[in-house]
Amino acid sequence: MNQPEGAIMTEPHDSSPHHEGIAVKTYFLIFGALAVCTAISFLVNEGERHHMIGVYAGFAMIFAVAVCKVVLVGMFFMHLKLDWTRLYFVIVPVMILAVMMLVVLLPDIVLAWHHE
Amino acid sequence: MEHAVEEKPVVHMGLPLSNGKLAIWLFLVTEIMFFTALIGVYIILRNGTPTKAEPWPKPHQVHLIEWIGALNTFVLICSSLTVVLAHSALGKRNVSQAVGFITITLVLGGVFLVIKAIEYKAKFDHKILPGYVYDRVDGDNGTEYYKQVLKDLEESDQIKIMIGLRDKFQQDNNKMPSYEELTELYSKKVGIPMTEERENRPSWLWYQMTRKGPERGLSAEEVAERVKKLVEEYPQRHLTEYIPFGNMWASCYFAMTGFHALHVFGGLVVFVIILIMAAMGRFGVQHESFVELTGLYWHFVDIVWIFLFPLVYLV
Repeated sequence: MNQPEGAIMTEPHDSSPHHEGIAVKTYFLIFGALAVCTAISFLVNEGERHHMIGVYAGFAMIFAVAVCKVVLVGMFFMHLKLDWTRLYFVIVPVMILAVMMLVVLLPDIVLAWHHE
Repeated sequence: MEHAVEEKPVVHMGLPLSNGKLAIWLFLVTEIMFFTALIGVYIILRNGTPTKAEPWPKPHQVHLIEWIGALNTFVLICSSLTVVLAHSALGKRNVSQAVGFITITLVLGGVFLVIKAIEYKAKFDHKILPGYVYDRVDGDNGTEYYKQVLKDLEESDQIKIMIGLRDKFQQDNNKMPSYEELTELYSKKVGIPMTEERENRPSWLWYQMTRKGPERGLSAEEVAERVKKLVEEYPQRHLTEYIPFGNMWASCYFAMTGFHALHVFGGLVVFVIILIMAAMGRFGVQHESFVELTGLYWHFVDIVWIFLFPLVYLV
């Protein structure tokens, strides 16, 4: 393998500030937000079941809440708030591929509606 | 004579990131694709095939209780908090506190699996299993369904008594009793009159299904319709329901939640290893990175559940 002159093959130094960048108080706040989000999802579902909220509006709200929860867990509990600049090149392509995988399957659903 | 020496800056190979963290993230992105494939297939089956006449199963039809799913979500969120607190404690060189938080995480993960096991037991008890659900009532499938409902009905004490009374009446009078005659005999025997509407009685359904002679019994479709109404009004009556797409639902449910539960179990194994190391006095601040990487995996398991909960229980 070509190695630049002067390069050292060692365990790369992880210069991320780790947990020190996120206070324990913040963890508890995120936990509270996640618990509230779970309660919101459940209540929206109850509203939908009792016809107080439309099916599509309910779905949109529940999905939006799920995305918010994932962002909170990723950014704070998984430290992406601190490590994003070092990891985006791994995460972004996979997120694009994951969304594309779902999008390319959508015609099957649309065609199924068409046949109904 | 002095020579000017050019000092070349030291260049590190790779990213400003530990090998462990890069490796766990590479592993996690493969996991993202794995669960995306499972969820993608579920979305296609859920939305692509059912019709208005034969919709996708509702949670109550497949004995799925929403608040239990919400409770499990909360349990996993709590465990995510405790694992991140364990990492934080280890960063502050407080090993005993970190071990305490890992223990709590292990317990919470165990609670999640116990709740999941209780839920699975309900599926096994009600035969909501791939290949076991009556999702068609035409032809031979209908005949099988008819037999199953009859078997369910005849397992109840009330119907057992009624069968005895019917056979005795037939022996004495050489004819089938009418339903009214039969209920009168039953009420006299047990001393409790039947007050609920005739249509709401399982005994009325059983009587119609077993009626012979010029008046034929019900068709499998009619039985399915009656059972649906009975179960809706009286959920405690354990009658086998006709559930369109029930087998497909069961396959999706067990595939998604089963793989997720396996991932939870994998995390618990790592937590047990940490606790064994702590018990042997081999766990310390040098394992901060190990706890962080385990935590990353655990949070990913939490994220998967955050999507599975609304998809399976709510939407």
